Amino acid sequence: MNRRGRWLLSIGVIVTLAVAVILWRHHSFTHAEHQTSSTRAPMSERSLYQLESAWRTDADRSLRLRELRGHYQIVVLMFTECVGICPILVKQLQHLQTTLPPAIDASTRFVAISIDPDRDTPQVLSHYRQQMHLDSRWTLLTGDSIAVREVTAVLGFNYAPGPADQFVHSSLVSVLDPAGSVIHQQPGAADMQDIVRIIAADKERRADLSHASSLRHAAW
Amino acid sequence: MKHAARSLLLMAAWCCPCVQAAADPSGPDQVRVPAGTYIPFLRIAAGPDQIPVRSFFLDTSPITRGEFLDFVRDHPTWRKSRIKRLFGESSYLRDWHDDLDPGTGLDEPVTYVSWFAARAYCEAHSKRLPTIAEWERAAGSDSRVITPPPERHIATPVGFAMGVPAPDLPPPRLNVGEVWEWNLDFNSALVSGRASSSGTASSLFCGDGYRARNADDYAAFLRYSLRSSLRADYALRNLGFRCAL
Repeated sequence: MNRRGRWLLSIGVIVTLAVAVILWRHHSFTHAEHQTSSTRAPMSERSLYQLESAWRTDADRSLRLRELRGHYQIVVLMFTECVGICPILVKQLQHLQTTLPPAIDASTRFVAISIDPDRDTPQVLSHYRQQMHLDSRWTLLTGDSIAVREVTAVLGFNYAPGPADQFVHSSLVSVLDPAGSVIHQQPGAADMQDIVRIIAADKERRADLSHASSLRHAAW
Repeated sequence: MKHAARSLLLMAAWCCPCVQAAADPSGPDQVRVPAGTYIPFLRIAAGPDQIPVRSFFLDTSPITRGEFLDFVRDHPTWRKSRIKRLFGESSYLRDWHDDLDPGTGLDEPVTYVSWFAARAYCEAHSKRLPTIAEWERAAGSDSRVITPPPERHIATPVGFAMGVPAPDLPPPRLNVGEVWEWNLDFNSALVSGRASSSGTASSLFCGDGYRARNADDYAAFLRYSLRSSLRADYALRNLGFRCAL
């Protein structure tokens, strides 16, 4: 092979290799993305259950928020040493729990998320459950400060450390639908029965939707 | 053939992501903010007067559109067509023509970015968003008394409210005042002073005015009220960010 031929051949080799590497990178890239999007596909774009943060329950079990799927979740942010609104809110929700119509009761759960990662260990939360007589329909969660910052930032809940080991904070009740989207928020002092009406209306809407889709199936 | 081998090596270096230079954590684009204190703008009864702030590094300027373009190239989930609504509202990167086309102004601060996107950018560079305490420490909000601004300032509230580097910062110069900026703990701003307050109504701008440490500091009023009204998915025309370390 003459000098020019060798030169052309080496250029050819380089170009082929480059193209191969680019194609391979592109393929592995799109493949990885495809996998992520398919595992996330069924979730609504606004679902809180997209948050990947790790939490611990009062039974010291690790939990991702998406494990709360399948029920309406009534969410309250609190800390166990709160001497202000938090215990009142929890008590009000407990009272609400006793007044729920059976159909709503069956599809509704409660979540109390601590904003005090330093003091509210799973053990402390477990004690809190006993003290407040919270039944198995309540999930009690504690996480690290970033997890708390993230979920509060999404819910629009403001808080900061305050004097006497207390937090100054909003008082807020949020309702998530079974897929994790916020369908209702209200200040703690508002009428808790609104929550029942909102969940009932949402259930009805879903029932209508699935009825309509089964009719369409039948027609086909 | 020797030539070809060298070209191959170069090509391999170009293709392998691990060879790409990592961002220097304390390069010329960062200023070292010495340890100091932060005096919260809003008083909390019996709360601490001063909060110590440890020494940290802060980007001298907000992240630019060009820098954010590099980021979305490498992290497709943060492109404008891909972002999930939970992590960025519909105005996210609104002024970009396309996923990878920010148009002109590559050196200008990127705006229309959510808190989640800003956080992800900083994390991808092994940094984080500055906290309010850090930001206020560096921007020296306590270093001068600000009287209500003359009319001409009202036209650019950002430049007025965000433009005061602390006097004790070493070089390079800190550039503030072009855009509002995200903080890691933005939602700790301007909450009511009473734990038993009901809802957000009492934490509105005027409602909390009585707690201001310096009622003349109109700039701080603006900063705190903006932060307290944000949500993590918001993407606003003049809201950008910088990273800290």
